[in-house]
Order: sequence, then C-alpha cells, then structure tokens
Amino acid sequence: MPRRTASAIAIAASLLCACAAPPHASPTLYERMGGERALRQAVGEMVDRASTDPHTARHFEDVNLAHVKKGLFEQFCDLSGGPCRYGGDPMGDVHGGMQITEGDFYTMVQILRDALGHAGVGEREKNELLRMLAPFKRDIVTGHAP
Amino acid sequence: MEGAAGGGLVPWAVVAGYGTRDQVGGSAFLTQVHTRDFDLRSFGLAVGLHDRVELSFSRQRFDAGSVIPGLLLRMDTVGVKVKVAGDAVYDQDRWMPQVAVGVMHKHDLDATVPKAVGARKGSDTDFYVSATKLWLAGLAGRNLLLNGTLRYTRANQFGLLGFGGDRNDQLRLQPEVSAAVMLNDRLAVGGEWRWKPDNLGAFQEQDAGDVFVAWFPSRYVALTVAYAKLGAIAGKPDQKGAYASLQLTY
Repeated sequence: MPRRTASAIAIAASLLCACAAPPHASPTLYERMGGERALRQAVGEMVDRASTDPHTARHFEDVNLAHVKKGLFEQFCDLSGGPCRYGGDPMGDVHGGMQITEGDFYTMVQILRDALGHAGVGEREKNELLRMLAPFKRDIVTGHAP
Repeated sequence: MEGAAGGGLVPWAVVAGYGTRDQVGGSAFLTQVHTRDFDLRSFGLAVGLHDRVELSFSRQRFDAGSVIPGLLLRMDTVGVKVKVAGDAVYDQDRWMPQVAVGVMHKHDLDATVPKAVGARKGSDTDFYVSATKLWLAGLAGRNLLLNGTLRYTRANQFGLLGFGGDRNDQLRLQPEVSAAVMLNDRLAVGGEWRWKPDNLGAFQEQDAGDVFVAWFPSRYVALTVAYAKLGAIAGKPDQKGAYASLQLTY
C-alpha cells in the first residue's frame, strides 16, 4: 500500500493504543531486570554452566535441562512480579533427594550472579532478586559434603 | 586489626574464610596504620572450621616513633570465636542477625612500659558478642551490612598499654559498631566506631573509629584503605592517619 496510507494507519493505531493503555504503574522487578529476554538468557546460562561445572554437574545428570530452565524461568518471573505463575513443586520437594550441599548452593549463587550480569541486569535488580531467593537456602541445602 | 574476622577495628559475627559447614577455610592479613606520632603494624592468620568456629592469631607491633625513641610495644592476640545463631546473608526473610561469641586473649611481650604507666597486668582476656547482618538491596538497591559488638574488656589502647589501671581495674562493657555498603561486587565503603575504656590516670584514652574503602579484585584478595581517628595515645593528642590492609581469604 502507499507509504502515506501505511503511516496514517500506524499513527492511528498507536493513538488508539495510548488511549486504551492503563495509567503507568511503577515498573516491577521483572521489568527492571529486562523482562523475558534478560531472564531467559540468565536462566539459560545459569543452567548450562551449572550442568557442566565440576562442583554441581552431578546434580544434572539424566536431567531434562529444558525442563529445569522452564521451571526456573517461571519461578523467577513469578517472584519478580512478572506475568507468570510458578506451577511447579515447592523448592524443598524439588531438591529434596538431591543432597545439595552448602558448597553446591554457593556455587549456584555465584553462577546466577554472573549470568544476571551477562544478561545486562543492574546491581540493584540483581540484589533484589537474590534477596527474594535467599530464604530458599534452608529448603534447598539438605546435604553434607562427604 | 586483632585477627578476628570482621572489620578493621571491630570483630564481626562472621567466621573467617570461605569454608562451608563441611569445610575448613581461612584468611591472612597485614595491616599498617600510620598516625601523626605513631606506627602500628598488625599481621595474623585465622582459620574457620565448618563455618562454625574460628581460631585466630595476630601480632601487633606498636612503634612509638619519635615520641619515645626506641620504644616498641609488641602484643600477641589469640582468639576463639563461635557462631551461635543465624545466617548473616541468607536469612533475608527474618530480622535475626548472625550472632557469635568470642574471646581474645592478649599478651604484651614488652610489659615493662605499660606497667610503669599504671597498667595492672601485661596480659588479659576480652570477651565479646557480635551480631552481623547483610541486607541485600538494603540501601538504594545496594547491599548493606551492619554489625554491633559488645566487648567486656579492660584493655588499654587495645591492650598495647596493658590491662586495667589506677582509674579503673574492672572489666567493663564497650560497644562497637560497623556499617558498610557494597557499591558493587568488588567495592565496599563503610565506617566503624569503637568505644574504649580509660583506665590509666597517666594517659587519657579516647574512642576510635575509621572510614574505609575496600576493594576485592578477586574473591581471594581484599585491599582496604582507611582514614582512622584513634584519639589520644600515650599522652599525644589527636592521633589520626592512614590505614592500609591486605587480606587473603580462602
């Protein structure tokens, strides 16, 4: 179609959208982290690194990594106010039989911090997300190193 | 400064090293303080067992410079600290801090001068309790650490001028506080303040504090520079100056 018509339709559409949009609420942590793009990248890197890191790899043997990434994304998205509802099991149940040690847990925290940084998540948002995740440590760490 | 894990002037409730509850970790440090009239050097080692018990040893060397030429006061400090409750970092959903209790046994190797100026003893033991907590994103999105320590002591100038004196010879409670903000994973700024006894009639003693910047080029190395206010020492007023510390942690 002629360019002028296309532009007119685009302008009209954006005006309609502006009228229909709700008043601007303060952005959620999810949005401030960079939304779906940033979180999927961070979770992807986190699981890829953890499944190959010598400290934590043993917990990922015979595990469906795509399934883990989906679950983690959903949970972080839910916790940070994103448009998701985590539908998986509680953290204690998920990790229960795995005998995760404190050392494994701290390795994961560092991997997650690095992955968030690589995905462009800022200092404040990294700290806020970790603040929400920190209390899960007592559900997740159930094992002792030999 | 005294060897226990914590800030430069104040021991915290954290256990030295990166050892988890299944591991042993540790740290070593070297600190140099230079005020108008004096030099103080301190070095030491600490071992953390299973993130529960800390054993530390440090040696302080206090050089009286031109004030009393040739005067060198040396002190050894042996410390034991036990974490008794809480998790400074991971209990983000609770008010509870990490709490530890500790003792520091201090021994002056050169006790003649301290006793000559009125100190009752050349060695003694401090008892303390510390509560430490890190608030993730606690201040403007940055991590904030606060520590409070209560110390039962009669040490004069940290013990360098002996213990107890003609003005007071009883163990007394002295509070100590620290605050630090992690600007990012590699840089922290903060300050400490330590209330101190004043047991010697001969030399007034005042409270001490510092403001510091700590840089962590890697997780194993920390370099801290600070500006310290140590008050009057051995009759010389207003001792202020620079402080630098290198710490290696495993």
